[in-house]
Amino acid sequence: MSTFALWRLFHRPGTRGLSGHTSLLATVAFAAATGIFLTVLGGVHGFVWRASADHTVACFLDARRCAPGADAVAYWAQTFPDAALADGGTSLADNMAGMAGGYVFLAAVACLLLVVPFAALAGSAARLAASRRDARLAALRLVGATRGQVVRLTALDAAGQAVLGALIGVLLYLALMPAIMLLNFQNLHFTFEQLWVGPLALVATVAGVAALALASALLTLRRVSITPLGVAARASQPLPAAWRVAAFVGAMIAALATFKLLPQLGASLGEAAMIAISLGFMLLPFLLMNLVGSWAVAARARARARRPRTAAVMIGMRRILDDPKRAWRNVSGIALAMFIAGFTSVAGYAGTGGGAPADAAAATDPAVIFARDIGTGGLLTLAFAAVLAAVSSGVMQAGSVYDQADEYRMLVLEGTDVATLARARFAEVMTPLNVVTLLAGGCSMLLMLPLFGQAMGAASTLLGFLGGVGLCYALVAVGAFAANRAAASLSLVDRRTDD
Amino acid sequence: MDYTAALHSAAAPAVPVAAGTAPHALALDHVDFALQPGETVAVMGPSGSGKSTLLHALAGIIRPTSGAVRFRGTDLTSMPDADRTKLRRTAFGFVFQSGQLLPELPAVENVALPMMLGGMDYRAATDQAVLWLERLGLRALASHRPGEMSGGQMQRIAIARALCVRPAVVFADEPTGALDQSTGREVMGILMDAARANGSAVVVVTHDPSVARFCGRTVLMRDGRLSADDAAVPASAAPANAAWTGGSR
Repeated sequence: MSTFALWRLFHRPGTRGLSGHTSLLATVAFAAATGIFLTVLGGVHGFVWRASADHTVACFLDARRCAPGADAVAYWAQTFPDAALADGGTSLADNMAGMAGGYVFLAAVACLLLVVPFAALAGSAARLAASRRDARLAALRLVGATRGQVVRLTALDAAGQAVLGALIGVLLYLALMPAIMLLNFQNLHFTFEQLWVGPLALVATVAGVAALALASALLTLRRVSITPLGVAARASQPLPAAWRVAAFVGAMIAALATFKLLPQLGASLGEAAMIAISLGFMLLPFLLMNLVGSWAVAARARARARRPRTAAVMIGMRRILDDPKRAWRNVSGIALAMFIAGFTSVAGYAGTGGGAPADAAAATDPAVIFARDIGTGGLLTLAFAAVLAAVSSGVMQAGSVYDQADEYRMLVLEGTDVATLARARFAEVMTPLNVVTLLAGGCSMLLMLPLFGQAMGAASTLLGFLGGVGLCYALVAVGAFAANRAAASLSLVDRRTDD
Repeated sequence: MDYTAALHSAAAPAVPVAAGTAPHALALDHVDFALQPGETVAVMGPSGSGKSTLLHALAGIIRPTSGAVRFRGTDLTSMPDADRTKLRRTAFGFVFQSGQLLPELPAVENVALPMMLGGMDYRAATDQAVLWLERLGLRALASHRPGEMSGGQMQRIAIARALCVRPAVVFADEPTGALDQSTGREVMGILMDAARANGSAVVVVTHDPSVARFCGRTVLMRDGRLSADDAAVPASAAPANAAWTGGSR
């Protein structure tokens, strides 16, 4: 029997059951990831369009491939015909054309930053697509399906969901476009032509998402032993080791020491090295987070599990300790979002010129426009990262409800309130979320303080930072809560309990 | 204890379906059932005969489409869902075929869970749970998680969990279904001894006659109807002052 014939067998109408719900969730996750990725890519394309002399990517990358007679400044001269001359005597059009490359660079950085939560979301969607298949796969193996057939079947499933989700994501990208067109960058609104990435990029994105899903699903399956007797019984796993904390503390001390030596280093090293060190400072919090995150989550859960106040807390904490890495993955996207929040708040401070009131003349000052646009772009990146993290966490949360459906159904039969189980699941997300908020917030403050000491101390920066952190926290909490409610209501009514 | 059930009909799905719209054949059809304090009853019958539906109706998990289930003078079918949930937690204990223990919790916390759900604090609940584990000879398993135990050990933990709230009735749905015969006998022995010591009645759903023999009385289900098994030995454990009534229709 071919793998495709097997796949058809399991995808007749009415045969989906519980796996149908997880498929839906995985599709939603793929759609959200693709939609946001294409929107950000559209933004990058828009800046390339503006920076390129003949508005093509090829011309932007290689000046020799520009259309003959194309002139980058001409576009800006047409756009701002009546703009006053700036201080240096150069026209606004010249300035804007000169800075257009910088915009592309920053947009590309934002795009790269979002790759992390994007990959996390696509990965969690693929894991979801491959999960809840244990019983079916074991039964297939028992009747004689080869391991290869079973792996191909699951991979086909995951890739199918990824393609469907990515296609919906393309529609989402088109639907979001009018909202993006309202945004003001370089004193200009985006046009459809600027945001449209072209059919080739769309096809490449859909194919890329499918490939990513395929790779993630195969990796997940490698860890799940699909023997004819099902998945091996669950036993205690070792908790994350304490060396992570030692490495974390060591890296923090090294980072702070590097900062102390920065003036001397600045004198001996070149400008490029200094930029590299600065970039390292900005990325360090995220790397440190991933190093210490799962350990911190496990430590907090262990402390709360020692004397839990309620049954819900006990269940929630034990779920975390069952797999601290899973609990960490649920919220890890938010660590990056909070780090972006820190960076954005500093950029926002710079954008308002250190709090100086912006006068009318500054409205056409290229430096003010640039700083303001960095603030807007940062906020946008923060919002996208927060939404990606929230969807990711919500999807994983909903997926775990399905994983636990059998045991939870038994508990409900035995007289456990559904509300208690919902509280347990909520505790399972909120504890890691609180840990990541404290860690990520604290870490990015500590590491950015030496770099932007004055800016980080200002009330507006702190407010912006706390606002960003609050936004991330609220989005993830709401996402988890919504997914929890929706999945909980589904999982307990669609099973037969009679003989 | 006053515990009777007169179930005119119950639809098969877990979610009660309004009479007249039920697409399935009736899972229970004019069933009368009564239980004495401390009595042990086996419900036998072929697959699909409605045994588990009867158990679920008796325990207030499902509402029959018509009829009544009376426990201590109250009709379970007219109770709000929250009250039935509380009743299941405080007055009933459950032992299922498998999979009722939470895999993330060590044995002692699995046993303590129903007591904590009833409002007991963690220390007191786990102390009690350890006592129960000791009583059933399972002290050594206290810190083990279900994935690290054998099927028989898991069922013994489930029995400790069912009995720790000192329930009036223990409902057991194929409690030995996933075990080999000798382990099954051992588990049934532990269940019956512990329930007797506790003064709890036991209703066991099974299609294994050797399991049914542990009970004082056996009733047979066929196509949703109930009939007494004449061959069954009358209950020796039933106390003389039992106050229960059973109607027939």
